[in-house]
Amino acid sequence: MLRLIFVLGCAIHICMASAYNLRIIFKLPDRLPEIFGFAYLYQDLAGLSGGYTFYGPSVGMQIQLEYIQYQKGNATLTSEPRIQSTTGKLRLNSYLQLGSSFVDSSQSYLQDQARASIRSLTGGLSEIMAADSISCRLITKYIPALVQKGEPHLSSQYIILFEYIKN
Amino acid sequence: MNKEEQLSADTIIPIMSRGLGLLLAIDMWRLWPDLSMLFGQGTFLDEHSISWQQRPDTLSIHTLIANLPEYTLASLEWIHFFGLLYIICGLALFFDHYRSAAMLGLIILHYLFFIANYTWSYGADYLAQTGLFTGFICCCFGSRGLLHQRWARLGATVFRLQLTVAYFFAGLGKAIGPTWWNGEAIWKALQQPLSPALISISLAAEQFAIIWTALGIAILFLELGYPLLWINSRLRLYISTGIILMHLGIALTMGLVHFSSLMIWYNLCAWSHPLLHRIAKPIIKSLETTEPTLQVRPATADLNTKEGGNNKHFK
Repeated sequence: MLRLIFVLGCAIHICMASAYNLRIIFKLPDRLPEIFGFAYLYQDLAGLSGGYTFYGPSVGMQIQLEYIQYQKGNATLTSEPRIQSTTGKLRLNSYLQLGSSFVDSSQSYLQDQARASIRSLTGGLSEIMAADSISCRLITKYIPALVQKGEPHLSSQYIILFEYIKN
Repeated sequence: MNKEEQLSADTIIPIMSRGLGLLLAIDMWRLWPDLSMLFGQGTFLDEHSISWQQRPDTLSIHTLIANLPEYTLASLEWIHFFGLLYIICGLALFFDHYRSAAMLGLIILHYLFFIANYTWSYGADYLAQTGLFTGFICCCFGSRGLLHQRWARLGATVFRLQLTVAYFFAGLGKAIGPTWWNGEAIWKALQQPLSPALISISLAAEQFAIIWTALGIAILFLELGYPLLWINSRLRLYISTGIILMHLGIALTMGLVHFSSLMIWYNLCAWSHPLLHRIAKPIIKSLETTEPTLQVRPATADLNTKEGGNNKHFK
């Protein structure tokens, strides 16, 4: 009997994982009746809620943070100075991907959140760093496409997606 | 694959859990200098930005700490206490002390840190949670004396099935677009790593378009072909080695070392890859000697033997 319950549980688990990923891949609506609200908790506990479609169907742009400290001899910080560890920087970079909402119209609902986060980050930095003003930019690297054969070689260059200046 | 190098079914989940405990403890130790900034009192994102990435009525480490009295001891905060507890649970799991308690502690803490609120999470955290969940479920059955050979085999099968689902959908997600077929996606991923890479690929390498196309298609075939691992051991060795090499490449060129280590470890354990026996020999040996095994004396054909059995009826 216990074995049957275990097998049944596993079958439900695998079906749930498959359905969740199919929903992400084919962009189906995420609406579960309230009675299945516990399913969200289960998905979180089982680690299913992240989905497995990493870098699919295409690789998005990587967003980076850049601070410019305006005072005598302007300084540019190409990463967040308050985060020291590699894993901390990786987690921050992962969070900054919400900045892709500035170029991806399907994610435009994230733009307000991205703006609020950048304001918060810059505000905190201006409290600990001496500067007349600090500018915080969300930037992304332009990668020349492989298919641009025969065209003059384009070097990579950075594109500013959003800029916030704190005086 | 050499039969002597096959893990027994009841060793797969325990060895996977032990390695997972060590990997999670190491990752938390690496995150230690930033714990206060990302999760603690010194957090540099405002409360709204943090709570936005959390379902209402969910308990996360952020909400838990917000409800605790402000406390600092020699620059250590509550978050350092929880971080230390996480590392202790990971190490206890690795050294196989209080396995169930360590696993339960780690699954709760990992959920609180990275899953309940996903502000500072990325793919590896969800995969780690899946490993902990599978390990914990199997550990629960084991601690109740239910995990004999059949249960252990069932647990190992579920773990393999979980990996198959993960890789298959990762492959399917990539295959529906054109960029993994023409090499664009892999080129883009290598040129803008999420974390500083150990080996960086120069922009001049774009002229080798055929290599990037071949690599993109190879990744698609490896991920979509993952279910073939179930078919036979020879194919299993080639595909699992391919997957391990793919993750090694991800670690070196994209800087995702923790994610790659985790996935390499899962694959080594799930499919009993020969490499596992080179790098984890002492752990395997200790697990296979300490686990109780059912010993049955082989039956003899000769009933008049003087040894064993009650043969007085035959006298």
